Amino acid sequence: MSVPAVPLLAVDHLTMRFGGLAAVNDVSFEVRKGEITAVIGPNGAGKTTLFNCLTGFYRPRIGRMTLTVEGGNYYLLERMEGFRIAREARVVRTFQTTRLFAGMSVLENLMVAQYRELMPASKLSLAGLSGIGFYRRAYRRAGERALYWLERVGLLEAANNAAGTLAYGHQRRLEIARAMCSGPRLLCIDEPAAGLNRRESEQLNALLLEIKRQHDVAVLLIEHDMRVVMQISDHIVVLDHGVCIADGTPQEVRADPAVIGAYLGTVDTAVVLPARGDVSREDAC
Amino acid sequence: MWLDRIPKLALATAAVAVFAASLPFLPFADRNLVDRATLILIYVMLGTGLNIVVGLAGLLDLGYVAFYAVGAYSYALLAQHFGLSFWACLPLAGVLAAVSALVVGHPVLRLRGDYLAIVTLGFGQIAHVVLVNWTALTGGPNGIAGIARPDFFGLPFAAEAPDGGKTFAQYFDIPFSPLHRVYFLYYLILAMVVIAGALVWRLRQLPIGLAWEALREDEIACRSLGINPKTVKLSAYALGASFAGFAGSFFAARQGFISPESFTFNESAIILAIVVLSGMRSQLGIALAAIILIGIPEWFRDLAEYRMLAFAAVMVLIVLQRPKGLAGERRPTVRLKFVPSAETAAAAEAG
Repeated sequence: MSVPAVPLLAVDHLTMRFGGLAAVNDVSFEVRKGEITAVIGPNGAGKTTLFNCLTGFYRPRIGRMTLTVEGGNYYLLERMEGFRIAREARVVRTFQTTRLFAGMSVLENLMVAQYRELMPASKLSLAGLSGIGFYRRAYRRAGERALYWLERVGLLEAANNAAGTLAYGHQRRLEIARAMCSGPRLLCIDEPAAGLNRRESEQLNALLLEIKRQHDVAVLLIEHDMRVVMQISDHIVVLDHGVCIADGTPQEVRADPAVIGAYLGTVDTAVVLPARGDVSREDAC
Repeated sequence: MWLDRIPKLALATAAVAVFAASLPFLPFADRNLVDRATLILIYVMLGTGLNIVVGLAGLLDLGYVAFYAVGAYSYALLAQHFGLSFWACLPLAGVLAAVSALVVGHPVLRLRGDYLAIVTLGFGQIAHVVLVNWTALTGGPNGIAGIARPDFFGLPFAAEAPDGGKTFAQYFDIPFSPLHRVYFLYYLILAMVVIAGALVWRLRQLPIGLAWEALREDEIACRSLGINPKTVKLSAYALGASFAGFAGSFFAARQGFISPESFTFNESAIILAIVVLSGMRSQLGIALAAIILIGIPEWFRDLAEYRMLAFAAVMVLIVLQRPKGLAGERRPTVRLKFVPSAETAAAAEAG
């Protein structure tokens, strides 16, 4: 596969401080189209903070996040409001604890996600009220897309059920489907495999791989489950204490002593890592 | 059978609407009953508007009565100072109420939950205080009297036309009766309620209505899907307020006299009680709740000081029997018509 010259997302020297704590400290990496990029690291490494920066929930003061789209136009995400990041740059996320519209039906969840396209088509709701042709066509397209994703995540039978009544694993898949319905360029998924059993986790892998192959989207994935990460990601970024300690293919990362040290702990004499993170960041990131 | 395919709720709503439309012609109907029904319908209108804000968008508004007052005073003042007719003022009152909602809502709607409730409560009180104290414009506590009564598209309801034209009775060549105006007002507010209900029903299926409900469920998820919470909130707030504006101008036209007394916090509380009691999901629920909350104190007048006891008993009964409200079940507004059963889906997956 030829790698495009400009990555979809370039994160440069991103730093997010909460008082004296640098939750994300001078992190730089790239996300490319058609790839699954995984962000891994121990608890408290700054993975979710990174996501919150990318999707506008936090406003980082230092660093730059550039999303480059077709034709060379770009969005500087650190300057955009959260809903604009989703609407215009089309960076869409899921949440560590699912945030579905629990009282609404599964199908409605997927229709709300297509607000960006449906709302202009309804022309301040006037065209929608009259049921004029072009609104009806937009509505039908939205419905078809919703059904496509319902089928993909295996929730067609539950279409009219309230989203809050679904089993946990189904809620996870619905959240991914909802994010995909909003037509993202970059899909950020926060720990999708958490709390899933082995079979569900494998289904999830298949779903993510299919999203990557069949849809024009880059996937950025936070995951603890190494089985998921190693199987499906093309590219792994490892964070520890807010610092990027490794960046590369799964094989490279697996062999990286800094990563092993971060996950298993280091005995000073066994693995010599002067000022953990700093050196490896220099050469890795 | 075809009846099976129509949701029960729609059927019940239609039945209530038909009953309401034929009410003045029923044998037991008298002027008093139609008057009370008109009052109830005003509250159904207000409940429909507040339900958009509280029930759909999930914004707890305790100062809704302010927009009711804006509607009433708009009509009274425009009619008195500029001689505008009821029919010109009705849309204007709705627009003015919506505009005032936008002005108030812009700074206020960034708040959530209890904080929003307290600030809107404050706004309701401010509106009342302004009405009492701005004597030059509103007439202060004395209110505004002699407000022009609505006519039948240019034909006045009177024994004699003031300017030598034809009255309603003369035009249709029927004997004059003061009942004509009562019935006309009843049908007018009934039409307004039906239109408002149909509008909300349709809007709920459109992206804006789905966004209102999504906002109620989870604002953060809305943001992450590219929905601007501010515009969605403002649209709900303004539309809800415009309904109050329509109801207010109707109220002023019906009474012929308004004063700040009609726009106290008590009114906000009653409207909110109607919305909560209704279950916040359907027009039918609002109609039933309005009948109970407005109708019962009226009908139990003979009990004198014990009538609030009857009222309380009914409330306790509802809370015990229908804790989710009178019609609390939410039906999805966007539905998949042919849901495959588990077997067919499994077969499709296998095949």
